[in-house]
Amino acid sequence: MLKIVRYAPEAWNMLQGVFCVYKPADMTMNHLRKVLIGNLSRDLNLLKTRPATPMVAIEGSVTENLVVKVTENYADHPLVLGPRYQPKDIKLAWAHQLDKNISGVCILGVNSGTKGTHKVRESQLIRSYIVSGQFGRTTDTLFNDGKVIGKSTYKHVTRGRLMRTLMTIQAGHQRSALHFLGLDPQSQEAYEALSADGLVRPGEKSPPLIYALKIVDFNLPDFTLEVSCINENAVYLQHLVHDLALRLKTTAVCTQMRCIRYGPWTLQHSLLHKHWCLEHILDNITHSKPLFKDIMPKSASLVMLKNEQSKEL
Amino acid sequence: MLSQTWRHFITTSLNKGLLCNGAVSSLGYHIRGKKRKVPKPLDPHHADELPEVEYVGTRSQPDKLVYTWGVANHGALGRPSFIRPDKEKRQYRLQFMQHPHRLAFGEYHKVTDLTCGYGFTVFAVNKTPEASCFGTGLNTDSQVGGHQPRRDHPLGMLISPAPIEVPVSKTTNVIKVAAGRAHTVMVTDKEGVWTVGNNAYGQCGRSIITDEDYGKQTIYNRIRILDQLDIAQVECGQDTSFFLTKDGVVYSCGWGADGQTGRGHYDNEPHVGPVIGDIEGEKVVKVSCRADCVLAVNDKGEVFGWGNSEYQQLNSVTNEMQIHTSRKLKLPGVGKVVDVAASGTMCLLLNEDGQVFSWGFGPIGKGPEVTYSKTPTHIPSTLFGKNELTPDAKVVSVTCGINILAAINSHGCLFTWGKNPGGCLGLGHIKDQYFPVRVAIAGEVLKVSCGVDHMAALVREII
Repeated sequence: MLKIVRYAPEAWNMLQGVFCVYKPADMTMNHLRKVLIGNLSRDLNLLKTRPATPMVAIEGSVTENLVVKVTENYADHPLVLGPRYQPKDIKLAWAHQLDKNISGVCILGVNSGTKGTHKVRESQLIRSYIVSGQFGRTTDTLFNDGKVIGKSTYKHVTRGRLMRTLMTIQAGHQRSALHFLGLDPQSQEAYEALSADGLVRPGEKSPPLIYALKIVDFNLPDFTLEVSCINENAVYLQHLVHDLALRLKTTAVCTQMRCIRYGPWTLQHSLLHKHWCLEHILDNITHSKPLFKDIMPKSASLVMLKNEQSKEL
Repeated sequence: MLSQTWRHFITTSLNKGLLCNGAVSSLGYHIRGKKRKVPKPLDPHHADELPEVEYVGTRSQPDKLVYTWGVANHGALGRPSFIRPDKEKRQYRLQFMQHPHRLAFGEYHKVTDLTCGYGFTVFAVNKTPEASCFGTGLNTDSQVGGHQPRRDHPLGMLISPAPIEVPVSKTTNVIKVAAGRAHTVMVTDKEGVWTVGNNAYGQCGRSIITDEDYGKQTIYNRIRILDQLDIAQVECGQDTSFFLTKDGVVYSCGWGADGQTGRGHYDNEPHVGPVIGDIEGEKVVKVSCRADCVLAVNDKGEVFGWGNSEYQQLNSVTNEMQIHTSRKLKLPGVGKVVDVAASGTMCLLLNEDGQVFSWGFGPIGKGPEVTYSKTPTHIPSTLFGKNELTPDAKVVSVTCGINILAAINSHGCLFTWGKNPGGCLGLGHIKDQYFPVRVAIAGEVLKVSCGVDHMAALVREII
């Protein structure tokens, strides 16, 4: 059901909530925020804004006739005050700050939706990344753009060995999730949480925890992994690629990091750069409302990773 | 060796402060006050002259490593610096090694088999000119050989592995080892089965000599009865020895006060002979005994038990405290059994679907509230790594010590639980563990052996 909105204050009232954007690579979050706020205020000002409230003047004197006149109110005129909607009026906050090198799904909240971003952050949703690397060299920043400080051979790395290393890392992280449960490892609750489903979500703030590691592509020297984790950041993912190569007795550099899923939000939900305007953002807020409603986790154990995230990718 | 050069490369080049976010000076160390907003553009050919290092050849095979952990005071872990630390090298005395520690002995030797006794460890090694069997730890009864650097002063404890000089020819190799409280059994490929150590109950397979001083005189005994037989597995209980032939017959000798020799009486048994009872005529594939209760599995998946039953381990067939002849256990709902483990108070079995069942008394693995079970109860497979991300993980072998239980799954992950004296479970703490938890070892665990308060594992690297 399409609703046509022509009046700016009506659009402003609808501009409250959490929405999802595709952040391009090489763009900082601060820049993204400025671009979005600029676009929103520009679009709002293009709609029919609130007209100036007329000034009521009573002219004349008590002895003569008093005349009530409605005059032009310059104190409320847009050419005097400036555009009705200015960038500083719009509140925009993000759930997680993505690094300049990471592209992908990014959750933002506008106006009263900024409280929603707090809720999204606290519910510790699982994020999935596509991380690509290249064997054979390592740089000082652990990313493609750094200065190469070491080169090594990589022909001994096979798909099976990479898979076994990934399983070791994954098992190690699942094991360490036990510590961050917030429960005593010797207690009955810890036993029940672990034996029920095996995968547990930390009860308190934890270091980055990896839940799933999968090989998407293996084409020596390049490889691509799908990493599902919580509490991570760009530096951690770069270190992950680097440490993976150390375990395989070679060197690697991270070439690409792309967030493809943030809890229930996937690439299908996120807005491309060309769609960063008022109309599409309002649409996105509406589409994100049902996803946002049930994201608070109920128990310590991750009941079925697949059910927590939406079916489509 | 290879790993040490790798660590050297990483600590020198990378840890010189280059791994920081943001501006990095090309010198490799920070210069206070001099920052660049925009990093200097890189020369596109700057990497051309760097040497390409080959750490691993294309066709190299992964090594087998040895990890030990647990109580370090008795020298069974094999690292001398735990007991005789070198102050110049900043080493300190270590009482408990609570997480797996990689033994240097495994880097310099090709270890094919290892076993833990009560306070000592024995390794069977391939291709050395000196000996093919090494041991470390307590040596009060010459269980790890006779070592007298000074005449008439035998060493009561070894702190690093030393060769056990079994009197066999240089071309014969020890292929299997097993160790009990104070004795060791070694199977060679060409010259039969040898035993050494304490013989107070006849566990070495020779007649008991009263008041024999086992530490002063090391007697290596070759068990002649087993010369013609092909030995598939050896196992040692507390003071008993078991030998399983490839035909499936179980032989035993040693202490029998709980009937664990299975020979029909409760006396000591210094002569090696076959176990009697329901097990006669069956083709046994595995025997397990670490204390005084014995379980055996045949090729059809049926379990036989004899020995101590004070903790209701054998209560499916008897209410008595001990039985001295083997009986076939009635274990319904368990499926075809492929592996068993019998510790002091708890028993484990593994069926062909990879499910682990445990019963007995103590931390059997079902949480802190379940302290005993008379019948085998299933331990949830999610605790052994089977979850929605790895649905194909199943347990492939189970082992035990006196009060420690261990299982290895199909991905090579080791899970331990039970009592935890001195951090011997390898989980990083000294508290008892009531359900299986994975031990952090980076590699595929091939074999693990548990003693009273230490464990040893043979691990294959991934690369």
